[in-house]
Amino acid sequence: MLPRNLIFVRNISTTIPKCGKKNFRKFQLFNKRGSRLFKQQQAKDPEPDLFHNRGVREIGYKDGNKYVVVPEKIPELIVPNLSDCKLKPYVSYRAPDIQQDEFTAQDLFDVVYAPKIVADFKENKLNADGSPIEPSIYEKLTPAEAELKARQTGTDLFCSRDDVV
Amino acid sequence: MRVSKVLSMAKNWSHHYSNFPESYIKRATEQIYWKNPKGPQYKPNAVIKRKKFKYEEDRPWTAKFQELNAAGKQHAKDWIEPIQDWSFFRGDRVEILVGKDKGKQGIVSMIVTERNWVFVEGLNCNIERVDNRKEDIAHVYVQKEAPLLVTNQVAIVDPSDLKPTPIEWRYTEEGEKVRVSTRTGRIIPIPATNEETRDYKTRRAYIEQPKDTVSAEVDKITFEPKLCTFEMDLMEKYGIKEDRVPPKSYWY
Amino acid sequence: MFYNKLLSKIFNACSGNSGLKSASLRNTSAKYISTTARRDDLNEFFDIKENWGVPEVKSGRGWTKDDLRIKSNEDLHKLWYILLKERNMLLTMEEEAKEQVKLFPSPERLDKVRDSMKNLEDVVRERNKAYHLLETGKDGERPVEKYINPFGMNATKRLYEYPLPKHMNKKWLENHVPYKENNKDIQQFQLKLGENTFMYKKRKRTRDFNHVIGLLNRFPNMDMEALKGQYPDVDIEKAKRSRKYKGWD
Repeated sequence: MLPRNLIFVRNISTTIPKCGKKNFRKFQLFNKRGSRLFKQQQAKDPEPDLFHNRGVREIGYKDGNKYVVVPEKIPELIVPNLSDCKLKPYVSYRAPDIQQDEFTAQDLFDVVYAPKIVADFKENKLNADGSPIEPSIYEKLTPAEAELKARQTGTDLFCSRDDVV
Repeated sequence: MRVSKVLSMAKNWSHHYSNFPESYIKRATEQIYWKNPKGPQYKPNAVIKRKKFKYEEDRPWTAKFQELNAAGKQHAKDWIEPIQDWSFFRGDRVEILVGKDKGKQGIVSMIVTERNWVFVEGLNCNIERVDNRKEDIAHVYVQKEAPLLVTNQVAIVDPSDLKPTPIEWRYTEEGEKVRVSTRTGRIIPIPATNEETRDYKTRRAYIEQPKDTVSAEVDKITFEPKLCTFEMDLMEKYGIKEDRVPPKSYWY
Repeated sequence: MFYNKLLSKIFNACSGNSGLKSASLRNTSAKYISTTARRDDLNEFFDIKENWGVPEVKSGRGWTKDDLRIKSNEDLHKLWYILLKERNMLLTMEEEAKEQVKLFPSPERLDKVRDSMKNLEDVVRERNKAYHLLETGKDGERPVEKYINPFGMNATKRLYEYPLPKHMNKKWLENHVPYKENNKDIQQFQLKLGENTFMYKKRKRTRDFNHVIGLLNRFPNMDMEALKGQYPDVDIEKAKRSRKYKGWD
C-alpha cells in the first residue's frame, strides 16, 4: 500500500467546504492588512476608524493640511537614578509578613490636620463655627486650588474602568 | 504565619507546595481557544475556552495534566463532596481505614483538594508496569501510591494516644483557629513540614537569590504621609517646577 | 487635554539605563553634567549568561500591597523601573525561547513581576485618592459614568475632557445620539435578550438542583452546611422530595 500522500484520488465534496476564518466582523484591517484593491481604496479615501496608531497617542492635531504639534502632548518620562537603590524585583521568603492597612483620607487627615486642630482647641484659637483663627497653609487650601495643584503635574489620570471604551 | 490567617485566605492547599502565584496557576490551567483581538469590538467579551477540567494527581502546569485535558477530550463527571474546612496537611500522621493497608498509619505526602484526595507515603500502593520501548531491557515495576478520600477513607491520628480520631476546628482563648480531636479534646497542631515548598524547606532556610530584596530592606519604613499626590511629591524631590495653569475643561 | 506621562506604562524601557533624566524638553538652554557612569548596555534586556538554557531559575516572591504601603514615593518610583526592566527582560527571554523552540525557564517569574507592578499601581492610586478625597471630595481619577447604550443595555463609559461645554460641542452632539425608549427594534432586541438571560439563569438553577440531588445520592453523610455554602440558592428539602432522590429522608 502506497503512503497516503502518493495515492491520487479524486474527491467530490457534497458539503460546503469550511476552510479558513469565518468571523469577518472581528477582522481588524489596519494599515498594511487587506487585499491590494482594499489598500488602493484606502489610499484614495481613508476610513478614519481603520487607522491604527499602535498604541501611540497623537502629539498634536491637523489644521487643514498642516500638522500642529502641541508641546504639552509630548510625553515626558521621569526616570530615577537606580544605581543606589537596594530594592530588587523579588522579595526574599525570609522577609516577615507585613500587615499594613489601606492608606485612607482619614489617615491623611490624622497626620496633617488633626494635631493642629487639637492644639488650637486647647489654646482656644478656634472660632465659634470651628474654623481656626490662625489657619496654616494646609487649612487655607481650597478644593479648587488643591485640584489645580494636582493637575499641574500634567500626569496621566488613572481610571477605575480601563477595560471599558 | 498564624493559623487563622492561613485559613482565612481559603487557600488551595494542592498548590501550596509549588509556591506559584495564583495568576500563574490560572494562566497555566486555562485553555483559551479564541479570544477577541484587542481593539473596539461589537462583542467585547467573546472568549471560547475549556470550562471543565479533570484533576488527577498531576498539577495543572504539568505536561500530563495538559495531555489529560487536551482540546476536545471529554471525561466523565467527578462527584466531589463539599467540605467546609480543609483539615489535612503535608506531614500529618493519618490512619488508613479501607483497603489492603487498613489500620496502618502513615504520613501525608501530597494533597489534591480538587478531588478531596490525600496520598499517604508508601501506603495504599498499586504496582504498575512501566513498559520499556527497548525490547532487550526488561519491564520495570513501580510502586505508586493510590489516592485516598479525605472524608471517609482516612482519619487523622491523635498524637496523645496514636489512635484515629474525628476532628473539629475550634477557636482557642487567644482567637486562633485550631484542629481539636473530638474524642480526647487535644489540640492537633499543623505539622511544621507543611511549611515546605519547592523553594525552601523552612522560610528561614531559604537561600536568597541575587534578584531578591533582603529582609532588612523590605522591613524599612520610608513612607512619610504628606498632603500631596505621588506625582507632586516626586516633582518636589527632583526639583521640577511647573507654573502653567491648565485651562477650564469639561468632562462628558 | 494633556496626558504627559510621569509613570511609564508602556513596554519600551527608554534606553533601559539608569541615567538621570529630568524634564529636559523645556529647559533646552541648560547644560547637563552626568554624575553617574552611563551604562548603555542593551544586554540588560537579556538574562545573565548562567541562566541561558537552564531548566529552572529560582526567585523570591512578588511584592504585596502591604510590603509596598510602607515605602516612600521615591522608593516606589525606583521600584517601578526596576520591575519594568525585569519584566522587559523576561518578555524578551520568553519571545526568544519561542523563536528558538526552547524551554523558557520559570515562567511564573512574569506573573510575580506583573502582580508586583499591579500592586504598586494600586498603592499609588490609594495615596492619590486619599489626597483628593480629603481636599476635594472626589477621587481625582478619570470620571466614569453609567449610561444606556444604543441597544438599550446598561453600560459604563469613561468620560473625555473637552474645552467646550456639552451644549456647544456640535461635533460631539452629532456623534452621540441619546437612547430612545420607543424604538421598536430596540424593544424587540431587549425582549430577546431578556429571554436569553432568563433561560441561562433557569438552566443554571436546574443544573445546580440536579447536581445537589446527585451529591445527596452519592454522599449520604455529607456536611449540609458545606453544601449550603457551595449552593446557597438550592432548596435542599425540595431536592430530597424529588423523584431522582434515592434516599429515605
